[in-house]
Amino acid sequence: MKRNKQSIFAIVFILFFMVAGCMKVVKEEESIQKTAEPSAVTQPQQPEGAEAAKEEAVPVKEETVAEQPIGEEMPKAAAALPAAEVSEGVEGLMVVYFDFDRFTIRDDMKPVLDKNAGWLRKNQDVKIEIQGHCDERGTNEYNIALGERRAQSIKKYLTDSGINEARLNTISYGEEKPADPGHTEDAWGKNRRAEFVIKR
Amino acid sequence: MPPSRRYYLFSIAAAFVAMNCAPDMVKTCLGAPKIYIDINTPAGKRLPIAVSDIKKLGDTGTQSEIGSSLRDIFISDLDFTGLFDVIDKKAYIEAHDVAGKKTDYVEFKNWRLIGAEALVTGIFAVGGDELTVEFKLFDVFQEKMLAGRRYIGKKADLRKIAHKFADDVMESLTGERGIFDTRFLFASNISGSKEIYMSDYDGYNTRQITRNGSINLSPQWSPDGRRILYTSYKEGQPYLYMMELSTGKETRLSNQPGINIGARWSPSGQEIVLTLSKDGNPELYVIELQGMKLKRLTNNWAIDVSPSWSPDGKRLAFVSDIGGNPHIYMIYSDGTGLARLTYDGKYNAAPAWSPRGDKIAFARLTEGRFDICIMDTDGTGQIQLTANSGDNENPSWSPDGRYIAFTSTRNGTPGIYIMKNNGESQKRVNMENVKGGKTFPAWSPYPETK
Repeated sequence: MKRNKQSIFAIVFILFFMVAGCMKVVKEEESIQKTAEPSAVTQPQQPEGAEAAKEEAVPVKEETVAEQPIGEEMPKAAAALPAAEVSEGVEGLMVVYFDFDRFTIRDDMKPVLDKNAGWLRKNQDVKIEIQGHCDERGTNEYNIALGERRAQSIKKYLTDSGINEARLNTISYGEEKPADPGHTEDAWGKNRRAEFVIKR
Repeated sequence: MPPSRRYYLFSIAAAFVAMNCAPDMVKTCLGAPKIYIDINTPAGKRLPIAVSDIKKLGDTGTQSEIGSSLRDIFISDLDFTGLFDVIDKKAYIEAHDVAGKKTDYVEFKNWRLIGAEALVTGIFAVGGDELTVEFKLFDVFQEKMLAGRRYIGKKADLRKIAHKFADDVMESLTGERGIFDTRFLFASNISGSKEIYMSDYDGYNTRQITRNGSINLSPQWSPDGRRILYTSYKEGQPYLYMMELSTGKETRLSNQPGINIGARWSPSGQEIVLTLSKDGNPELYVIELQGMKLKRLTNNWAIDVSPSWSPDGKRLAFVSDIGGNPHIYMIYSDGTGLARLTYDGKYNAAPAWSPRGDKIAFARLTEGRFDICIMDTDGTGQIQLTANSGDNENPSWSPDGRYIAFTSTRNGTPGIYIMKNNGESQKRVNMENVKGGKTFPAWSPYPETK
């Protein structure tokens, strides 16, 4: 499997440019622009220290969106956030999805991960947490282990793509934080995922 | 336990035991070799038993609230077993001419007339916050007392007192200790967070154990029932914690990088097995509590989780996907002798070794649903116990090995259910005042006696 990933990486790199127009990616870019707008509007209202405020404002915003307070009523909060929008808060880092009981990176997810790697190369000062998640089927304990392996798979892929390992932390939430609280194949598909949270 | 005839054969042996009991005894007269109910006979006849009003000392009038609560709880325990036919109170014949008789006077022929073969009487006294209850169990035909005990506690211990005497009655009539004074640990996502709770076996006396607003999972009992283990995300990563129940004192036991999950106390209480991913992927390790030494049990590329000790502490059943899908495996506690136990299905998980040592319960994915199954410890004799009732996971045995608690989604939101170890009498445990989905039932060991 490890060998596979390295050899596949070269192919994927080419694939990335070919698939760059895929719907998902476009959607993400649009949503990023959308989030950028409000901060542009508020900035002029800032009096003097506008520059300092600008520097601060962005990470604070990232954290408030990326953070998922576990004290909140989860299923409802999560229901309001479709999977695609979850990644909106963390700029260019998009959610990666997995097959049931699998932690290998799906071929259709490699372009997504390559794009994430590209974003990480452009933003060298950023550290991220890779969060592994599972759908509700299976036991909670096995799913925490599976989510861990999903997060590790992503980390391996990114380090193989040249991202410094020190910038990549992992955590597994197993089935404890579903993106979609439903009990359908569709919901499960959205919940078998890795999310990316920016840590400063 | 001697093999016995069907039930209720009131014998000389019982009478012999009763002879040694003073009327106002404080100690129990247990140890009767007679077995009134053979609980190993699946479809044995139920024992007709009468439970008289539990009266206030010196009061022959109507039953008080305390008395009826004690009676209701006691009867509910008897009903739970399916071994008794509790005769309706309406049939009871009041003993006339009680003037000058003690509150607990028993007119045996009145009980024989309504078909009772055993009788339970009780009196109680209240002094301030203190509650004293005296229960007695009689063989109606022999007109002899089989068990009697006086309990002194707080008013708040009322349920516990009734459960304890129900345990004594079970032991007197069946030769085996009851499980009515046992408890559950479970997790509930009542407030969005997932916290650990405790309850009596019947869902009453619920108590919130963790209050950290984070995700808390996999509660487990120490063999003496005084401490619990659980995994919590309260510090960010899933670390292992221990709590002493009497003080609420919490200690972090393992904070290795990665996951620290699925910990189970060894039967000796000296070791804890758990899954750590510090060396790259989820593997089983044993922590020796003395000196906190860490010993690695498994060494493979796969996921290894959810260990369960055999009662002798020599072996562990666990889940591994080393064969491609999650299946149940067994390994000796020194890390040797890895053996695969399940082959059917594509997802077998959550093994729970029975307290008697002869069975392993687990959850299997069949036709898109999880069901509880049991098997012998060599993987043979697999029997499915739940069916067509949502997803059923996380089996946990009662300390006598007669019942299995588990999580089920049969009514939508996950709840805690109990069934007999042959799959009969499946019913929900309604956790008092705890709303929301409930998972990870962990049945306590027997409470320590004194």
